[in-house]
Amino acid sequence: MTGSPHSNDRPMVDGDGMRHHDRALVLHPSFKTGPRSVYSGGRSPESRLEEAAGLARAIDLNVIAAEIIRINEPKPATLLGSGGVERLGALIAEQEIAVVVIDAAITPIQQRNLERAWKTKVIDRTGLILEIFGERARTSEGQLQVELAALSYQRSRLVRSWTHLERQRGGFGFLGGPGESQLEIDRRLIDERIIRNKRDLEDVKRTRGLHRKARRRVPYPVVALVGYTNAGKSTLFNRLSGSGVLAADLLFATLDPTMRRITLPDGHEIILSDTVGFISDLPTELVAAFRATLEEVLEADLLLHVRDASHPEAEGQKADVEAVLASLGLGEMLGERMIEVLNKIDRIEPEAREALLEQAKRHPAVAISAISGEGCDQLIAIIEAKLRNTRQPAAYRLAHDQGAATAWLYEHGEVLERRDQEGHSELTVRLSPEDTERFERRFGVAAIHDADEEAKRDHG
Amino acid sequence: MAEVAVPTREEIVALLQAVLDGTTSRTAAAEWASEVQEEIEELDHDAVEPKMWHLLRLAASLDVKSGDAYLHDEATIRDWIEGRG
Repeated sequence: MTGSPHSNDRPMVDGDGMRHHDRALVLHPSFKTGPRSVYSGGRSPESRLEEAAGLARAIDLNVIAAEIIRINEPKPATLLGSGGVERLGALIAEQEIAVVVIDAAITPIQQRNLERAWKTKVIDRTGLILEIFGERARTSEGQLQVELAALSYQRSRLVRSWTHLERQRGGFGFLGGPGESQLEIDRRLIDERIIRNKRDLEDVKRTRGLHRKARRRVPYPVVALVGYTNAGKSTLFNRLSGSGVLAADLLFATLDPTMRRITLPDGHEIILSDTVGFISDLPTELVAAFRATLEEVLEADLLLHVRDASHPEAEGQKADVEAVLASLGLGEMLGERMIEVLNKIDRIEPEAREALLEQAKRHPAVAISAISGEGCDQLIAIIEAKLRNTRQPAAYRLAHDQGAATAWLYEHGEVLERRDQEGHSELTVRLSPEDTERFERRFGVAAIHDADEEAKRDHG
Repeated sequence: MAEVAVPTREEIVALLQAVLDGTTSRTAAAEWASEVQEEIEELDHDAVEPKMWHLLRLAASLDVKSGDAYLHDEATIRDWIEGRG
């Protein structure tokens, strides 16, 4: 990731000198002062280290050792003090470590100096997450989004002594003008690839624009699963849809959105949508690249925020997810459309479990085990109730010359019944509260029930 | 109010069958269904029965993808053809 932009379509793991099953050392720097995570509020270093090791395993690195390194004052040149660099250097040599993962943002200079001192590959948290996304992306759009994020990351990390990109690119080296420094050439080459990538992404999105339009027209409500990575979203997706989506105990097992049409016990059909999980310190480059995908998911009629209730940092993970949603400008909009799902209760000791079930009753949440199915019936009942509440049926009497209003109802609602009579039609339609308000305001009509009530009041 | 050519159920079923047979692509079928919907919305909505409207909306989502696959598989399209949509 921190090497050159690659000439092939997949700029990830293999091109950077990192290989699957490489022996890896994972380090979590715990700073006494200085850099702090934006989202990690209150997380323990142990938990952060465990998560970082999980991320490394997610791309099949062979984690030989993992440790927390206490840093009083980050060194601009090497992050760690010289004693720490030396001690870890000995460990790296002895254990034949091929990759060192540093669970923090490190500067390009720090990275270069550590790689020289340890004679091994060094990668930071953002680089690692980008590697994982690069591995997981299956659709062409997903791959382009990850590549764009990776290029933006690389561009921000160019330093003067970097590898000469144009040589790796296999070109003739005459593209740079006289006097153009290597840094400028490198930057220009990345910029050219970014422009090309954005153009390709636009082409893909143009095609997908039709999909999005069509999806909006799918005559079923969409219920989307969101949550921290490895919270059990895919397991729940499989439980509810009866399908075999990959549900691995793995960070970021799902990247490209997956959807299934399912029939609820009340007979209504919905589209269930599974998507990428969130994580603390999600690289800004990735949030930007995946923004459109995330926003599309969040346009769903209902969101299930799936949480790993058994995780010691469950509250921190919740805060991380809410922070990402807020960064997308969606935090406050989601209140009524969100159901909190406390998953993995099968992993909780009986006493703590009772307390959690009590808490779930007080706090609007539902406790489940997607693995055993416990609580899933209750979750389904809540989904049904929420969807009923969000889309109440109402009847409108419209004159035959009110074609625009009739068309609007067909476009925005689910027409359940239509009775044509002389001079007018009566339509029973299921609409969201927002659409009900918009419709009545725009066309100056009221639901028949309300109108009848008014008439009764007017006539005493 | 201008006239709009509202497709019959038979026409939509023929389109769905063509998708199953591979003689029409999902994208082409979905585009056609979307365009027809738009025309109907603009011109004469009263001409379409709710069940037909529902079928048209389903047809317009023929090309919606789920990961690498399509949201609506072939068995689902057969269900629509047989009136179980």
